Amino acid sequence: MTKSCATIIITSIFFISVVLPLAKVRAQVELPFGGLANFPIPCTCSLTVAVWFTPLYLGGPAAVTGPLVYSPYLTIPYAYYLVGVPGVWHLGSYIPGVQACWMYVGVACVPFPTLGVMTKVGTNRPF
Amino acid sequence: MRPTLTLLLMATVPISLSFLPNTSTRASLGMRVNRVFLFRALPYEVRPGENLVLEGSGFSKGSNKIYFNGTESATATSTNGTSMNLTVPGSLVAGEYKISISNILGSSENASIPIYVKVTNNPQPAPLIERVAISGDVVTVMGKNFSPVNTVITTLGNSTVSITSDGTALSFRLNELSQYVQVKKSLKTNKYKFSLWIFVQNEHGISKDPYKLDMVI
Repeated sequence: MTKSCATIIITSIFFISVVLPLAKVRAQVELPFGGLANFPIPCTCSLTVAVWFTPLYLGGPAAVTGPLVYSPYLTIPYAYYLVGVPGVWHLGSYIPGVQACWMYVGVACVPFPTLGVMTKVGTNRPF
Repeated sequence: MRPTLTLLLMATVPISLSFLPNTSTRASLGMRVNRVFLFRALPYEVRPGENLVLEGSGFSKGSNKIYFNGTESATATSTNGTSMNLTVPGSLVAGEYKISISNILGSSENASIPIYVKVTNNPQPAPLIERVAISGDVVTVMGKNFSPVNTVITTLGNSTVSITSDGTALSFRLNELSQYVQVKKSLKTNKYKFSLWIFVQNEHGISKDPYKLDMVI
């Protein structure tokens, strides 16, 4: 099951990468991503959530690990709506480099650096 | 095979051709638009009459009232909605003040997230990271203004123990970070590229910008 999910996600990202150049009219770069969620990290100041993914595919065959931000004020969720649930595969798009997670550390908030903010995300159903 | 391929194409084309919401300020992307947030005041230690930079979201281009310990003490305007400058009132006596902002969107006041600034006649600069090196699982941070006792804040969580320094260098182990075990567990036996972002915090404040250390974990 996990292997087939990974195959679908990698194939999807490949096709997205092929089609993406057609959408160059867009003002900001929106890239595809797919990955397996490990755990959510609450962004206590910005009221968003950073989701840690391993592996995380960002439009190519190489996998990385790291967080992307889910923002209830920006991200459009799709079925099965299990964003940030550990063990659930996610597929969607994100804007790289956007600072949308701030965390409180005693006297102030600091920007929690992430790979970007999700603009859309759908998940699988782990049962 | 062919129906699967068709389904994949149908799923991917809408994703790649969708359009982003129109936003006027990039830095506030992902933040709630109808609320004012105050995230931090820089520098943390400041002399009366000196300049202070406030960072947040939802700042007004018109007028923002700035409160020190609940008393309106200054007004300021923001050109980008996410930062603004103000002069610390010369009348403030030395001490730690809780800062908040109010404007047409309401107040940034949040009891669980108080933002502080320390007014003093002898301000000390916040830590500054200049270089970072890693050897095995030991990370060495070099820079300025470190205190004898510091904390590091990273993408892998905060240091679980205090980190001593001679003022220009400090070291910590990756497994001393609060989320390292959780992340390491999720990696299983595989190796992944990873960016570790590091802040240093001490009694004089938090480093303004994090240092990015690319590594394989």
